[in-house]
Order: sequence, then structure tokens, then C-alpha cells
Amino acid sequence: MEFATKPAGMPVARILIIAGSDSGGGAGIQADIRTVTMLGGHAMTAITAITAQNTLGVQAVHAVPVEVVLAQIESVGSDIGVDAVKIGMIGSAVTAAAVAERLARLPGVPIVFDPVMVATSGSVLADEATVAAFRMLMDLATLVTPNLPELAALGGQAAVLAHGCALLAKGGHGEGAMLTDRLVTADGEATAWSDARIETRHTHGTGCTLASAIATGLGQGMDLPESIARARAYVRDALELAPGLGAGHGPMGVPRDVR
Amino acid sequence: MSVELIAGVDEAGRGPLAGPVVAADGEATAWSDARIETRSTHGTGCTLASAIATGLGQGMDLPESIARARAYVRAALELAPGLGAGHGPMGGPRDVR
Repeated sequence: MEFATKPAGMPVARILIIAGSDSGGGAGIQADIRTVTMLGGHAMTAITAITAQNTLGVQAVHAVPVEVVLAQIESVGSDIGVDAVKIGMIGSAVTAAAVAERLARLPGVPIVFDPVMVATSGSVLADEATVAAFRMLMDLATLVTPNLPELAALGGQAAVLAHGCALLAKGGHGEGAMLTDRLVTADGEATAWSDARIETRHTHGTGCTLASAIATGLGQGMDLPESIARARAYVRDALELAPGLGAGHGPMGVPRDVR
Repeated sequence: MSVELIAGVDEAGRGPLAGPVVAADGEATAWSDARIETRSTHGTGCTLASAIATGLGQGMDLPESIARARAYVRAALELAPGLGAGHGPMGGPRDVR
């Protein structure tokens, strides 16, 4: 089935989020919906996995059957339409491959792929077969947003760029008081953003939030650097607003003033 | 003690958003407003109940929570982006506190 086209004059960007649910409300689908909503988009979801999770870690994961993941994509795409896609935690290699096959039939829709493999808690969220399936998703992606450990797991910058996508290498896992996020496009053009590190243990959901914010910008017609700059501003505000919940890595807050 | 809110809105968003609150002791409060004409009513019931629960969690009493929740739902209905061929979603108000 073809996806619905955007009616003339529609003001809202329709963002499809393909990711897992975080019961703790800090990361995953919950962070994604908040982010898209607060940046003025309409969030739609294809939930790939349900996690039992809190600020201390992931206690249980239930994978959603692949046909139900695809059904969610069809339901929202056929009626509501999609202006941009954010992919987060996929949960299984089979699902990743099926999602890639489906998204390959959506030419022209920007895709932001956050290759979630290692949670902030340290738990590994994807096996080696899933990492292999990620290569299919990188072939389709407009932008891939790994943190430094994920970038290493994907084989490094050259390996990612070989898929024809742009790369945003996030520096938050690096050392030092300053951190740098680097955008490199497939043709090698680089842009970097550096900021003082925000000292907080409440960093749960930063990756999900950043990728969803970027996808929202792309869906609203911004280019990659604009989308990334706004997304970084949103995440930094959210870190500053963290309410301090839980005994571990708690959720961020919800900025209302970043547009 | 059981407290019942008869919102008059089902999961598909049909019906008036103007039902009475009937508490276990029989005390009643009612809110009446002009119906907002829109087909984007999907999620009104979910949104109202979540907004009320948020108010209660923030220490508001029932009437306060309900009044704010109704204001939020009405603002959301006004902001509906008009998505889909059926009963579309509401918008996301940012200014109701």
C-alpha cells in the first residue's frame, strides 16, 4: 500500500518512530513522543519491543512480533502519512531486516537511524545478527547517530559512510570537560559542535531524544545542520531540566521553549 | 471511597465533553461548554484521564484536576492538525499548566 501524501497547507510534520518502549518513561518511545510533540511534530509509533526498565537498567524485554511492527507502519503510513522516520531500538535481526525492506519502498522520506546497541545502563540490546541487519538500515538512512561505542561496533566512520548515509558521531561518551559531536556527510564534508559537558547522571534517553529531534527537523523541512543544531539545543535544555528521578540514570526534563 | 467521572466521551471520542462528576458522597459538580465541531476527536478520553491523573499526582483536588484537564483537552481539540481520513489526533497544547 502506498503511504498517504501530505495535503496542501498542512502545518504539522508527521514523524514515524520505530523503536522500543521504556516503561520508566526516560528513553525510547516515551522520550521520542515527547520530543516530537514539543518540537511541533505529530508523533506516530511502530513499537518493536516492550522493555521493563527503570533508571538502574533493563529488567525484561518482550519483542513485538515482526508482523505487528509492520502492521503499525502500514496503519499510520497508509492513512496519516510520513514526513520523516526515526529508527531506534529494533530488538531483533529479523525485525530490522523487515523494517529495512519496508522502508526501502518509501523513497524520499528522510530516515534518522539511532543504532541502539548498548543502553546507558550497559546492557547489550542487540546481538551480532542485529548489528549485521543494521547495515541494511544504514543503506537507507539519511543520517546515522551512533555514540562512540556504537560507532566502534559499526566499524568506524569510514564503514558507516560507505553506506551512503551521513554520520553524526556523538561525543558524549568521550573524555574531558568539552564534548564534540561531528557530522560527516557521505561526500566527506564535516561540521562539528562543541560544548561544555553538562555534569549530570540523568542522561537516560539522550540518544533517543536527539535522533527524534533531528527527524522532526528534517520532517519540517530543515536541513541536516539546522536539525542537528536545534536537536542539540533541545537535549542540552532537557539535561538541565532533569527532575532527578530514580536511583540510577534518570530521565531528562521537558523543555518547552525550544522551537 | 469510589469517585466516578462520567466524562461522556468514549475511546473513539464520541459524545459531549460535559458530563457531571458524581462523588461517592453524592456531591456533584458540572462543567458545560460549547461543543467543539471537529472530526479529530481521537484520544479525548485518554487525554482527559491522563491529565486528571497528572493533576492528582501534583496534589490538585479532583475539581481542579478536572478543570485543567478539560481546558487541556479543549485546547488540544482546537489544535488538531487534521490528519488522516477518519477521526484524527488532537494537537499538543504547550501552554496549559
